[in-house]
Amino acid sequence: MYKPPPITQLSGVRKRFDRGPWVLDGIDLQVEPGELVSLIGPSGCGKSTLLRLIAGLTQATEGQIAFGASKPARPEMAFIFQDATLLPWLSVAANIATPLRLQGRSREECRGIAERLAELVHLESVLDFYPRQLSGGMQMRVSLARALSTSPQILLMDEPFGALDAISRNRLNEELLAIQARERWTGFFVTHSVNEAVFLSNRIFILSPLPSRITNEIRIDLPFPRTQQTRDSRAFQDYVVEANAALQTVLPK
Amino acid sequence: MNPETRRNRRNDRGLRFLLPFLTGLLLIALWYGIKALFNLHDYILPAPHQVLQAFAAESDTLLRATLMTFSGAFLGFLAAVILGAAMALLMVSFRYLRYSLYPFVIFMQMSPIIATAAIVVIIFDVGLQSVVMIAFLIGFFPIVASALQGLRSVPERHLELFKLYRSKPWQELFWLRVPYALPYFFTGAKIAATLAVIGSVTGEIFAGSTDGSGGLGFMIIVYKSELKISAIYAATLICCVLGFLFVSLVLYLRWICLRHWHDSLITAE
Repeated sequence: MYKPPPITQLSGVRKRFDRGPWVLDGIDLQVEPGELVSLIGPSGCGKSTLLRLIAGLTQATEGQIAFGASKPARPEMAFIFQDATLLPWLSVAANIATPLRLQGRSREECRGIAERLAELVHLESVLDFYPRQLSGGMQMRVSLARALSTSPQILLMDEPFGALDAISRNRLNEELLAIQARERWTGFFVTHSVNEAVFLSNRIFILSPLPSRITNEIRIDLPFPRTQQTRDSRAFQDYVVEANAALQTVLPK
Repeated sequence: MNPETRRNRRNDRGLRFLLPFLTGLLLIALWYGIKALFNLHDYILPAPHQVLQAFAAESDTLLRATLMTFSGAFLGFLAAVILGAAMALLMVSFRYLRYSLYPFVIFMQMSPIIATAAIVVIIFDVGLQSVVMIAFLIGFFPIVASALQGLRSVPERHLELFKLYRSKPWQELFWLRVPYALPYFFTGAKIAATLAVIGSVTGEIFAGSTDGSGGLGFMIIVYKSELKISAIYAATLICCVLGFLFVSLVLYLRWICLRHWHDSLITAE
């Protein structure tokens, strides 16, 4: 059976800022196309730095990051930050289309794509609103739609739902999986929530405190589509217990 | 804001007009009272109605002087806005230029208006050119300083977002930095507008020349020598109105530009 090459491969990646302490100390991981992986670990353990390295927002001090066989070397990527990072002077539609405008697409084309994406994340009724008129959850949906606008192959998410209430968070988790099932991008998800990580992921990587390494890898074999029933299932709870136990071993005593 | 507070604010709408009106009446009564109590001569403190009479008696002169001061202050202010914004754009784009000039921009903001006015009049002589120059010099530096601060305060996340999509430098400047800096720019413009009229009139007072085509500051000097004290009060009042107009213009433009998105304009000011 043909196996596609990993879409992202990190080998021996180390990172420090200037002459500071090592933040990442030898990260090796391979992610297959279409996988959704989560990174969890104690706060300040370099999870965000790892995402930013993959995004190219900062450079590795040592080691290699390769992106499969695809040419050009860096596939289309999108990043979702902890806060929605919307431009307050632009309408929802214009915010969604910002990446496309930066790539030089026409206004008309952008409007069309923004409308389609707004439908996907249930924002079609607020396309002409401004960000300040939206709740935190809705702002995050705009941010998600914006990230999807360029049809990225890799989606990097840095605790995107951390600031939301549990109900919005669960709903957005389910919608995220539904969208992923259709668009088949590869996802990297940083979170503090073990529940969220188990629910979303094919695999969970657990990172130790600084200098950070991957200490555990947990494969989550829950069937898709995942729903509230998944969360209520015994198998789900077992994974949560397993991941929590693994996390406990790396936490400072 | 909770609904109760909001309802209270709405009920206050009538009071917001009534109370300043009453304060005004009170001040006028106080004015008459002080004049009577201390038995002040008209040359020291004219009565309010005498000031009104001066408006009527000097209307032609005052109108001409007002136009003069207005055009001087307006041209200077306009130049400060255009050149100040352009300078801020250059300074944010070229960092060596910024390093070279920034301390001087801050330094020049500290110069006292009266001294600036005096120096400009000495160099450029009496007339419109001096008034324009003073209004320009006084407005230019605060506008550069605040616009530059705005252009450089864009949150790191927003810059990274643009970087991630490989934005071109002009896109980052005009689609991110400039809109982000608008509220800062208007803060600078508001300072410039307030100072433009004050600066112009100060310059005219210094000029104190005699060719008869001076602005309000010049007329204040003339009225003083003619002992038309109530006319000085009238001219001063016009200066206040002019300054108020300038600031209102800036606030209106700010409202046009920012009403959709900026927090400061969501609740009525």
